[in-house]
Amino acid sequence: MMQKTLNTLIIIFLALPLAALLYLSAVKFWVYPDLLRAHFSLEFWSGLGGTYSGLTSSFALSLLMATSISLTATGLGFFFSAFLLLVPGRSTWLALSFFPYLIAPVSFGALLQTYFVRFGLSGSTGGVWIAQLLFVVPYANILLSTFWNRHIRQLYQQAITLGARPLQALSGIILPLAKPWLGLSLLQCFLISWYEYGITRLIGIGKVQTLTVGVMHYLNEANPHVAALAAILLVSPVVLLGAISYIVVGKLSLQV
Amino acid sequence: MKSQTRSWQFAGVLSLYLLICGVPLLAGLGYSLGYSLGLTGLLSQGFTLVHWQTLLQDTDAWRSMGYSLLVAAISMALSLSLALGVAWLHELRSQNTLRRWLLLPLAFPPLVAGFSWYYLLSPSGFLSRLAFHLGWIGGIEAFPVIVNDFPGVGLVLTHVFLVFPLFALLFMHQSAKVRMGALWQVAQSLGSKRSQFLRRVYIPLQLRKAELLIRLYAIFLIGTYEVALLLGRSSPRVMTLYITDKLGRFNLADIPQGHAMLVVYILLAGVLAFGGIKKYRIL
Repeated sequence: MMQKTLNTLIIIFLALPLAALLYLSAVKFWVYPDLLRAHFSLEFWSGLGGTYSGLTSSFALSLLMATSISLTATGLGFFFSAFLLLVPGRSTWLALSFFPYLIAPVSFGALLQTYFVRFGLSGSTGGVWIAQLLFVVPYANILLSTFWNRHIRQLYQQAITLGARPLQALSGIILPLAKPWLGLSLLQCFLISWYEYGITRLIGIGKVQTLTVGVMHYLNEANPHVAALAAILLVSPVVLLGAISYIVVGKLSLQV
Repeated sequence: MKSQTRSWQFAGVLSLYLLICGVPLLAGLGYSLGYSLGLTGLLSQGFTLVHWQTLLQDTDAWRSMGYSLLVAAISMALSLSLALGVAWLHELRSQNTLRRWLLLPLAFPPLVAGFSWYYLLSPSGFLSRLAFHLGWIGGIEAFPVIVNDFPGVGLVLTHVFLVFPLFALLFMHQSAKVRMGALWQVAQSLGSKRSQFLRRVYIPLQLRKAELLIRLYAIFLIGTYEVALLLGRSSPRVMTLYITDKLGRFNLADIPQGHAMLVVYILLAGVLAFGGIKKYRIL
């Protein structure tokens, strides 16, 4: 009985934030002490096509940015992780990739800011894209470095010894084996970019309106209802993507 | 000739790697260090340690550092305790519904989590309204201030929301991997009490196996920004807010201190992390 109560309390604790967002996005004139007797309205949701179409463009911008960064970072990360196998003192070189990931994104943005201003990249979408990429590639590199264990390296060597060309060995053996890692890297890199606020705020100086910047913008305007709508837009694809990747990666792992 | 081309290709790729994964951070760190030492910047007058001396004498800077470490330590301790408890209950009786719910916070970026908890905990928020309707408080002013407050209740609670589910899932996974149930059976048959088993086997085993991740998450919490921006205070404020405040101010004299603190923060993160990396041989 006590365990059941505890479970219910924890589930409430976990579900409350999402419930609060859904509620805030569906009410207006939310005056204290109204709780359930609020004015329910789908005005904010229907405004996505009109009054709040800025949020729709923010969603598209975030989606485009996160997808392109995820693809580029995973590609570069895989390439670098393979290349580092050939470099003497691999672990020292790899250690460089740890730093950007360890510090808060906003601090990374603060470090880069002066150079981005100097090169005229501050306040531009391209600038934010490059800054985010510089943050995400090292992460992809670290993640994908774990793929290259002794077994994989031996398989590659064996294929070469048996007469396969490097490209054949890569496309026929390595890439199929790397699929779960690549899938995971694509998902993680997408999420880092999708959630990113600190770098975008500092490098974008408010001119690059991604969804996270949109949430903060509406919060600063004391408009929690539209901010909640933006927050739901931010959370919902991740839930869907998580579910899909869970199924896909799960299936791929089973195949491997 | 062919080998010369190969060495050029090798050097080219290595340079590209450095350009993306090393140069930006090192160049930024070098600039911040130079700025804090008076070697660059708008008011630069040559090498000086005065900005570092100002930082060391600035109680606000020390408070900010201490506050970040304290909030991270409390958030981590609470998250781990809750996660250990939940994983142990799962061990005793499978909690599949709860397990699925634990995945939900993983979809929350810190910014959204901070926003939601702000509107749940603020004096005009959901819990205050609920308390009013239940007759526990007479009005908005009677609700305790737990957002933007000195003890950082809202800040810590949001961190727990973000961090504890991940550790709970990890501990459940670790339990299954080491066959904790079987270990508990053996301990019981040898006459061990539950508290003894928890204290001597379960907790040390779980924490030791998750040590690296605990360390990394502690670093993540020390660098908290979005949550602190929404639920923290302006004094004392966390390190990242101290840095962005100093760097973004119109007072040019404050900027070198911001850069000095940025260097301190990065060194702190490096020291905390690299001890772990060496120890766990993940490189």
